[in-house]
Amino acid sequence: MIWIYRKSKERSWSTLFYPTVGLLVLATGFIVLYSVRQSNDPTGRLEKHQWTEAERGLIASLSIDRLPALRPDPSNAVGDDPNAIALGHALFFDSGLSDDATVSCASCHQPNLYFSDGKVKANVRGVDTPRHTPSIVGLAYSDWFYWDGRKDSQWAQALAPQEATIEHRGNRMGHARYVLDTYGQAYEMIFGPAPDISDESRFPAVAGPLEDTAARAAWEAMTEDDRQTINRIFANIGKAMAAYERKILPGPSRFDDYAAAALANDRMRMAELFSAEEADGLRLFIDEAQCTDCHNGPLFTNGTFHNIGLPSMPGAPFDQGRSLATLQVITDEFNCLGAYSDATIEECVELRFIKIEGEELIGAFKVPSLRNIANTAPYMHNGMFADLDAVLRHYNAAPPAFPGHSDLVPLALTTAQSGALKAFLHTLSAPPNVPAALLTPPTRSE
Amino acid sequence: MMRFFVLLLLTTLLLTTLLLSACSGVAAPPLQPAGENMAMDSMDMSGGSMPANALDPQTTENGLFTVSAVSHLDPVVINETHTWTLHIETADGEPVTDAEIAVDGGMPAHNHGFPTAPRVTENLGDGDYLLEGMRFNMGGMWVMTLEIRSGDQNDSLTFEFELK
Repeated sequence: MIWIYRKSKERSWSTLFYPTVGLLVLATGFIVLYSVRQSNDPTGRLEKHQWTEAERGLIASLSIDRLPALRPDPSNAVGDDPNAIALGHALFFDSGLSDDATVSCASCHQPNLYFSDGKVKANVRGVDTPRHTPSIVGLAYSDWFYWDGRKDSQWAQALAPQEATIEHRGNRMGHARYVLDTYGQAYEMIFGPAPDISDESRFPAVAGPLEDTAARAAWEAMTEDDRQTINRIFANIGKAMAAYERKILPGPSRFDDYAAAALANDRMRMAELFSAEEADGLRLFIDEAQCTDCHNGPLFTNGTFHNIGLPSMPGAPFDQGRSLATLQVITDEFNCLGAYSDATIEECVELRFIKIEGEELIGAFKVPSLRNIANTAPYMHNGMFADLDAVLRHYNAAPPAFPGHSDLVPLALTTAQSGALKAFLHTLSAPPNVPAALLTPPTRSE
Repeated sequence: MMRFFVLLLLTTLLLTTLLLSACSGVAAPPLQPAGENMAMDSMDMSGGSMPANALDPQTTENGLFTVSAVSHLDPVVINETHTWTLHIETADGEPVTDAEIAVDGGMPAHNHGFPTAPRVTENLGDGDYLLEGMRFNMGGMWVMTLEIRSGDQNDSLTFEFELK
């Protein structure tokens, strides 16, 4: 080059011109590239929505789009029968099923509160039950019911409050008579001709296997056949209620729109849907905070039972949770393998392979869905946490369980991280996917 | 003269290339509109899965048996109770048709077992056994331990696998 320089002074103009042109080309190229980048991401806001393929797969796995159509409940032959849905709808809101005509299923499972009640513990006539009312939105996808899973179908679950002293405070004989008297035609359309239970010498006014000694004595004095007749009607009442509850499904939330955008890797759309904080929260949720270990799948629950080291409420005895419930469900006369179930033995897979031993069952409770979680305070089986901040404080500290062992490890998130996780949880709310007519008591047209 | 232009051109190209690569290193990756991601077909969207035949046949600890385990659910995904077939052979490759099999397993890192109590429910013949009630409730590393008794012989093995 030096040699070329010296060879001719005539060429000295070009030795300045071409590097200048070259530099200009470079500068222009840089400006063009920079401005292109700026127009795509003027404030850098898309950076929060950059996910690896594996992360996008995990986000998509949580989307409601991945929720399969609800499978029939083999133990409930009328679970998807429109007549059963209509009867169940009526029964769900009918306080005539309680002994003082003040309590219905909807007393605690209030449609405008995602079918929960906002109370620490379910409280009826001023008396607390031992546990918090869970939302029943999407519960039809569960294998187990109640916080401890002591029932294995929605219909078997629906029966228990009917005779519980704190809840409906009814008795199965009274229920059978009330439903046949009030809804006889609807009942027979679903279940066929109803048995004649008018003979009060065989079918006394009040009878059932209850704590109440008179009702229990009357029940035990009946023949086995007559008891089965009443049990059958009682089970059918539960099956109609379950048919209604199967229609209460979750709706698509802002998160689900985000998941669709993430699946398409459309970061512009993602940035429209989620703030940077919400995206941070999602990142924590699927990664560092390991929330998806248990809150996985489209309903944000693995449907099983975990001990998370919750302290007992002051003065309350230790709640054994799953370790006691397993024994209750396998001996329940209304379980999948029982006489009132419509399932074959082979179809009762969950009950046949139920885990009944293991330290991890002690103090374990069902992982709740996180859909609509921001709208269903307070939290936990005993309602001990008033808000999501309190929940996150527990997960950040994760005290050891006693007895049993906690499945949590302390998250120790910063305030900003906890805030992001909470912001993300707020994106999971959406009106339930329920026909509007089913959200209010039916008009009596019978 | 020509050598000068060639050199200048090459230098410019080199600098431009360097600048471009530096730029794209800083800038976010290009946007991809919906439906253009070719990798989507292979993307796992289960939150934890593996192919039904992901487990390689394995020999028991004392070398008495060789066991293969294949899921009837393909791919294996979380939160679905499902069935497997176990196949047991002797070291000589003869099917073991009289085995009694105890099944256990879980996630050692999480200090919990299977969420269900799976068990062998049927001897299918020819060394095959039906294992029902299998379920996984989260992604990650799982183990499944089989204790096998045939006649007066006992041996065991542990499969280790990841649902990812």
